[in-house]
Amino acid sequence: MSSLSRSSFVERLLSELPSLLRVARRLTRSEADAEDLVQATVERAIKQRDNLRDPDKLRGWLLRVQRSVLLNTARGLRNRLEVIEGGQGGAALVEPRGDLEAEILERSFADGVKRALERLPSEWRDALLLREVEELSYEEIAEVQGCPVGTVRSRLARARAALFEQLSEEQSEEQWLGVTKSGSRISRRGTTGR
Amino acid sequence: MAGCNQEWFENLSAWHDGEVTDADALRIEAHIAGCAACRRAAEMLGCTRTALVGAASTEVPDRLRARAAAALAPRFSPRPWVWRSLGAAAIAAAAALVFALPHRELPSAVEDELVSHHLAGFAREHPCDFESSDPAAVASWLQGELGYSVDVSIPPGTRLLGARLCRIEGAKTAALMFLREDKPLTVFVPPEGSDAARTARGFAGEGLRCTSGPLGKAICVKGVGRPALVVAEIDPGVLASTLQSAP
Repeated sequence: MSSLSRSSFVERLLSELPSLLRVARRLTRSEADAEDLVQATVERAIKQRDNLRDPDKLRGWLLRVQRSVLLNTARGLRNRLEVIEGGQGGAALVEPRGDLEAEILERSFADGVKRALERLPSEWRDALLLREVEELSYEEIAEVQGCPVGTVRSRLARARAALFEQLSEEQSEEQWLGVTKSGSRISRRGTTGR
Repeated sequence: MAGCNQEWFENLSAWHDGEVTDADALRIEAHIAGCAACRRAAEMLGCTRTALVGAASTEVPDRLRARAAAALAPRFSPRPWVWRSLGAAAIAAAAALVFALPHRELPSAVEDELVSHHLAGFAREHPCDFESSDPAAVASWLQGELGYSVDVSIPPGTRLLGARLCRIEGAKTAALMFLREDKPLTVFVPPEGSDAARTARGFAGEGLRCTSGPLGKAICVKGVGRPALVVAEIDPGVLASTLQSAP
């Protein structure tokens, strides 16, 4: 049983709309369908909020509800060809910082990642985005994707390896590493702070 | 490129995600320290995360926020619509106002903003920042919060719940919250000289003008005196009639 009051649940649910919309866009490939899916998810979530066991895992729970709503609609089954929707265009990816060369290369890296991502198998891509962008744990991703945790671990490693391979076809890794230092920092247990 | 071999790269990937035990973390970090290929792969994992997070959209259209808020709004018990009890002439006269005045249209962004604030307010467990059915008390609270006076009059057939603050077209605005036959009604009173006040006058002139807003909500705008913008979940003609009867 969720320990959140109705108002807290509503407030937190509304704060999760960006995440729900990002994933819905990938699932439906259509802005209009994505918004319909988010609304249907919100309606389902408020009805089922007593099923939320751990309020700290609200996002993962909502994404599971969203997947369930999608799978229960004929339109969802037909259109279930995920795509990556960047949202902010390439021009908006990197804030100008005065170092034009680094900025151009960094933007180029981000564009390269996006292109490479589009070529990944949908389940790998989905797992990667649920981890990196939506910040779900392996356990939560497993629940969203309906697979064992070990499969999530394997999907993520394969997705990343394939991504790097495609990126390396575009540029030498030394060049990427040389220009993306601002976004990378090796620290204990993980390579970047959020 | 992906580490020194597949097994180590899978370990690195899980370590990057913080999904390894403390003992495994130490083992992996010791390996990274001595393996140039895995060190480079670890850096690439960080770069990729930064790129993916940077490319993720965080924007949610106002229309979707309004739809979500509507879906989350508490359902009020249905009662017979009040127009059934109003005279046909009053309804006709009020409905005539809806599209009668030849002024500018209400910008859709403002419509979205009004409906979104209306729904978001009533979606909360306690819709008001200040709860009171006493118009003088509500007016006094608003004066203190906003620094301008708001005439808190109660439209016929409505019950004052209190007030909250919000922003309409960037200006801090009073929102008076009512129930009319158990249906939510919000009266937004922007400060004089604000964009919202100008928009209201541009739309309603020196009278009262109503329209159908997003999600089937009625929006009525009063341009005479201190401008006010009203959102309710009733027919625009009925809302116009209610507001016309207001003191």
